[in-house]
Amino acid sequence: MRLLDRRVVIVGAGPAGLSAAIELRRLGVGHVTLFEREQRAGGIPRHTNHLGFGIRDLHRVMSGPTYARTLAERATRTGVEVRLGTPIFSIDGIDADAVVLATGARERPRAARLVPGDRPAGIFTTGSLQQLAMSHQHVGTRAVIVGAEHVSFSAILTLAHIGCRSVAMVTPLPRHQSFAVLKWAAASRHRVHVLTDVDVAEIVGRRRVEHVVLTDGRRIDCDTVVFTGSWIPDHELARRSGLAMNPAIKGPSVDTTFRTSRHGVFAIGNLVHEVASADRCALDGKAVAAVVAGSLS
Amino acid sequence: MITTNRGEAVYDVVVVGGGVVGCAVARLLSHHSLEVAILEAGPDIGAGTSKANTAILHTGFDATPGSLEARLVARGYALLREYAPTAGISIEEVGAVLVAWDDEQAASLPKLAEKAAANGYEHTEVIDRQSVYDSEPHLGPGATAGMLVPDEHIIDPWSTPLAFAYEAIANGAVVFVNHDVATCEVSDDVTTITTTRGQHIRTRYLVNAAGLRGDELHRGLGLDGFTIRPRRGELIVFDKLSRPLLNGTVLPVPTSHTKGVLVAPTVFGNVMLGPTADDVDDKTATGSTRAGIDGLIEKGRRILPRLIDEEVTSVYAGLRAATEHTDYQISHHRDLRYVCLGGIRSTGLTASMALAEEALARLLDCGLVAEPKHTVSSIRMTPLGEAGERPYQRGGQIVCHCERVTVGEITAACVAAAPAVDFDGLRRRTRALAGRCQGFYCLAELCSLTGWSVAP
Repeated sequence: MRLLDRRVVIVGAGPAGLSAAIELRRLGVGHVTLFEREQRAGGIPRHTNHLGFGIRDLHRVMSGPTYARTLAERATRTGVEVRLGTPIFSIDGIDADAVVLATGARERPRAARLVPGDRPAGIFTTGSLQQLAMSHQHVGTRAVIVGAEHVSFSAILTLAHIGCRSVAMVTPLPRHQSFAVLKWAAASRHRVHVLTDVDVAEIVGRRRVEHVVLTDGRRIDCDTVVFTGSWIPDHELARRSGLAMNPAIKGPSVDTTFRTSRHGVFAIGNLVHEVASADRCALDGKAVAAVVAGSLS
Repeated sequence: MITTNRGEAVYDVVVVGGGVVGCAVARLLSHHSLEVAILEAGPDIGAGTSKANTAILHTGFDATPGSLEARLVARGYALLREYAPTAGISIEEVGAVLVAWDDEQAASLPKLAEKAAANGYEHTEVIDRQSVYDSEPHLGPGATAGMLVPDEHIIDPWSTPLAFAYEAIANGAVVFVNHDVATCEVSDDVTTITTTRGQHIRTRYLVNAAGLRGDELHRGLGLDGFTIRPRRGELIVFDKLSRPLLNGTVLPVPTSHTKGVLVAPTVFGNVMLGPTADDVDDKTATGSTRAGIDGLIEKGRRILPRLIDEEVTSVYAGLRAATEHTDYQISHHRDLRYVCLGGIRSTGLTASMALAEEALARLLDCGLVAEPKHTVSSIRMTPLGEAGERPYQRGGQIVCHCERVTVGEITAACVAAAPAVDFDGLRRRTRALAGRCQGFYCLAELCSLTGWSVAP
């Protein structure tokens, strides 16, 4: 059978899924269908409103929303059938020669981190925060950031943009896990105290967050807490499809060519490895396209 | 409709407390030619202690034989089982196995079976170790014996009070939210209730279903007899992907203090671990604690080891309206035209409809005249349980992907007879935001759909 007669289904229109779809079309696969449960393609970069996207894959520097839009437009232009607002609950019954899962990852919310205390309003993840900021919603005035990964510093920028001061960044690790320049900028420009070797012991507040208590007994007054990083793959579809899982990552096990335990099913992006930047996920997409096309021709 | 104060109108019956018990009472009263009002201190129906529940539909097999609680739980079980399917309240008939983890506990099982029989529940069956593992293959090692309680089921605890309230409203009852009772003054024919914000509500008869603060209302009428000391129960809800680890509810051997830590499926498709039991002095202490969470994780690891490898979706704590007595504190006072439903603990969800019958009988004894009237046939809630069909399966744009909640359901919750007024109310009406991402994907979209802000 010619590649032109082959059909590939991709689940998830983030950078990985979009890039895989574009590349599969470029390689000559006739029918590429990309399913996305949201109403717009682009994945997390849609809401990450600062520069730093597209460097490794498009060799340009652009903002998250521009990057998301660029990939989505390319997909449509190259003849990918993009099906928005279409969640996939099971891959059984999908009529395709290959299926690529690219469902991404999300941040663990407060409960998943077992942080005790009250359940007031004012507790977010970076993901929800960035979307609120994109729709010009105010969230609060004084925030404590939990985590000190790249995304945590991104949260500081987002908060500053919507008029919320970040008063402290808290991580149980001995040091932050991002670029030194970001830490420097956070400390000097945004006057954020980066507190290492300490964690949030309790959130206190009746209707709204009033303060957090740290494991060393310190108390920080705030009305907002943002839980950042601590990514977990969105593995529901993979698990419900019976794929063998990698317990360290909590995503489906894949070999070096992104093949899962199920024949004809591939998995890429932040679903299968430690969370990586959007452009690295896009490179996964390009790479898997070559493997899939090779297996079908 | 929820309305504001109607000025000089005098209600026939005012029910203080819009939890599951108060709403059940109002529903039953609304089937009669009576002017009925619910006064709820909080911003919403079912937003107090009723929302943080283990969601078990109890047979009452382990109640104290002869107690009010035993009688009302058994009766309430029958009533709610009949009502729930007509109202779209999800019940999943999963049954329970009570597991003994040592020889002493195993030896106590026949006594528990006798107690169940004394409570009129004849379907328990003591089983050996192997049968325990046959019924729940993923249990941790160390079980010695067990007892099947095949009718101990699970129910949607959020839709239950809402269905009662919606039906009461449809039949003419009114609900006043944010009406926190400060004082009650009883005169010859009218009781005047004054709220903390200075509103006055006048009624001929008064029902106390004030839950945690029932003792305060009781004392405010010059009565005594019970003091509520909340018993906090912390619970951990695990990701839905853990649901296949469990067939039904796994109960421990109960002690005099508590039913103990159980592992139960929820009708929403999660697995729940808890509750703890800590006496606290603060009636608003609904926070979780490090010790509570760590203790539950440790117990959970012994009961169902693989559960602990799964992600946690939510952690919460509820307060049981415990008193110095072991039984419900139900009384009526003809001179005050007053019925008290006090000290209703975690079995209140199951007993709610029987408590409503009890309240009505006692109101009649106080002199209330209640003529049955023609009522709406019934209320049909959108079923939230996983076992039945949900709206997304018939199409419609999903906004909360973790719980598969459609835009239409969000809109409906915001215009319901007792509408959601905040995200907590939306969660209990639709399950939106109750899933594993806790708003990572959909919080902003929900803000734009509802017009609500997350700012303080």
